[in-house]
Amino acid sequence: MKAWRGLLAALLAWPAAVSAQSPTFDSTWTVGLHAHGDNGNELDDDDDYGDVLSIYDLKSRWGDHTFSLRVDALRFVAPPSGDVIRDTGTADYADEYTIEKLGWSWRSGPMRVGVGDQYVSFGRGLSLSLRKIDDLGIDTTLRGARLRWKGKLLRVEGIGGWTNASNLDPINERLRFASCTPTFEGDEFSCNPLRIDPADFIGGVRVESRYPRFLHLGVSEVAMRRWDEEHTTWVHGASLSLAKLPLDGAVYVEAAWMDRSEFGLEDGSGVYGSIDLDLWGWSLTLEGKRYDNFILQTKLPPDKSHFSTDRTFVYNEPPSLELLEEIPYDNVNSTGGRVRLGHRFEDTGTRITVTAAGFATGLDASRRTIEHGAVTMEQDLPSRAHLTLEGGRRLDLPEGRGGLERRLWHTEGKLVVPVHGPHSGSLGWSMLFWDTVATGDERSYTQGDAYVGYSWAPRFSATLIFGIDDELTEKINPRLLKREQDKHRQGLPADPANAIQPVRTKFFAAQATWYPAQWLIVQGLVGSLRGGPKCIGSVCRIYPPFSGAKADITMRF
Amino acid sequence: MRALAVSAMLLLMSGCAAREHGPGHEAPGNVPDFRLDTVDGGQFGLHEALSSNRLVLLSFWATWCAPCKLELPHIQRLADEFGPKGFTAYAITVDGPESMAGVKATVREYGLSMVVPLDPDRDMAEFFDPKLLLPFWVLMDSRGQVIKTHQGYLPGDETRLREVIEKFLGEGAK
Repeated sequence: MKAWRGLLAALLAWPAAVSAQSPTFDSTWTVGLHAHGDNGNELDDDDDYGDVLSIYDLKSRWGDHTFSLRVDALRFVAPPSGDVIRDTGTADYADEYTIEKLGWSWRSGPMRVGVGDQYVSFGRGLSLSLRKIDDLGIDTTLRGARLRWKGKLLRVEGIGGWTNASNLDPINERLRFASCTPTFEGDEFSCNPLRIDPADFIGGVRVESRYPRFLHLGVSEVAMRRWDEEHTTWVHGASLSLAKLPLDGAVYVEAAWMDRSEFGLEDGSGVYGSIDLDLWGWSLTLEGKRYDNFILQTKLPPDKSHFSTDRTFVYNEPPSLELLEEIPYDNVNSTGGRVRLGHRFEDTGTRITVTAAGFATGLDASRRTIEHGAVTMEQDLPSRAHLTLEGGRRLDLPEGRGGLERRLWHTEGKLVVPVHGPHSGSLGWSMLFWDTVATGDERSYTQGDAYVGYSWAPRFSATLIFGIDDELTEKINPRLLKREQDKHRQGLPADPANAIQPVRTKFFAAQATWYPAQWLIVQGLVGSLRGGPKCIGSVCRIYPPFSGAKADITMRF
Repeated sequence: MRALAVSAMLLLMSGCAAREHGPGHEAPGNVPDFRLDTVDGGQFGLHEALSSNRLVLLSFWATWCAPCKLELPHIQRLADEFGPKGFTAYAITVDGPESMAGVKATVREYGLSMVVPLDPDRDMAEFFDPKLLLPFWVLMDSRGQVIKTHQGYLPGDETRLREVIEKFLGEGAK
């Protein structure tokens, strides 16, 4: 902490002599007031409490110097505690105030030097990708030093530091890491070594040549040493990008090799390639991949709570080529490709996209084959109205006998209709219709949302959201199960069936956004929203369902 | 000998870079000179873009952002209409590794003739909008002064943007 204070003081005291210009300050401050009711998931440890989440971003520029600061704060009101927490193993309802990100950078011509928190990616992320993925609440930087040289013919980048994940999780509005082990003995517990950050060391260098200008050749080397290990994983990477080919074509290929020989573990490898062509007005994109044991990630502590299971911090991001964001799948061992064909019919204003993908994922007995096809149509309608329709079929089948078969139809649509002047209405849906077969037992269920909206540009918008998720209609309440187990131990009559309770399958929420001034956005939501998985590329996490009320205020000044 | 070769290479690179800051461009003072690759294999430099135009719109988007794709054709029309008067729009994509391959196809299918810089690290996007709620645009004058910013897209927003552009270019012409 002292080191950061020292850096902050040094930066603030930077003499005016560095620049004749006066400094500029841009702030963005978001304050969220959230009241959580019973979200109907039959867990007691995430209901009936309140929280205030504050995220303050500052960007200041003074001549060639840029200073950035982010301060996060989280305060709980009447959070779950006591037996509820002990029974379910969570202990992350702790107030937090932290300088989450702090950085300084200096630019001079082609040179840029950075110290502090920075996002880093090499190529298309096979070797290294530390970036912010807002939809997943992931915000991991490298806290260290970075040097970049961007010449016309050559680009060189060197980095070194420790991974810094944001402590506050904006998705479930809690501390990201369980602060303590969930196994209590009396009142004793031991604290999680990942209480604050993964703090894995990463060092790397990337060199990219750009001669001629349409040919980019890159090589990179990354070293990662995880927080509790003495061995290093080495990642050797290379990329080729070729633009301005015939047929307005472009080619990109990237490969990386993960050398884990110091551990005596199996190495990993990954290759990704894409070709883009314009075939007489039709856009054709071909992508292919082959990943074997290919992942660069932190090591979760052995005492992780169940909340941390979907938070594996991954430091590379190989494209998954999956078509739907709601479906997590194995991208660590995966081989396959995707074809996309798109066209715009000038006379009717119709845009059509046809996409097909096929993969084999997993290893040995868990190996699966995935086939997916989808068609999207966009149509400009009279009076500035716009229609989007999408539909597709996905088959996820085990290669061996007896595994789970998952068959899916999906559809998505949106109609936007300007009504009068700045007023417009909208109607939309996104639905997944599943059929699963496991050991002869066939089941069908539906997940999705439909909504109607109104907007008054540029001041106001409101949406009513209807959700359904009947994959599970009942669930075991862990607290009630423990109560029945305790009864059984004491020789009292007990029945585990008493722990089974229905879960919410239908959801309804009203959401409004108000833009009273250029510097102010106010958003409010009341009702319930379904949870579920969400994936961006190969990174996934589980959204918890929500019930209650939220107000978020964003100010820029 | 090796040191000499390295020095020579650094000098060569310095020379290359120095030409990017050649005379005729007054460096706008309030924003860093972000440099990005473009989707067609070219280069984008923010200072050069600002210095060469009276009014510049930086529109941040991504292939997976549906409202962005509703807004972009409107911005393209404004760029076509006000281009001769000194207005230029840049469609800066923040697509990451997963969706980068689809950028060029999207540009074609939406008929975008604007320059499309690639910002996969979100360096530039984060500078202007730390929360990065897409779509997002920032309108700047040639000195790098921010005239207006806007987050999200509601049908009709383009009318307001048109009014701002007309007002600025009209005043500038007086």
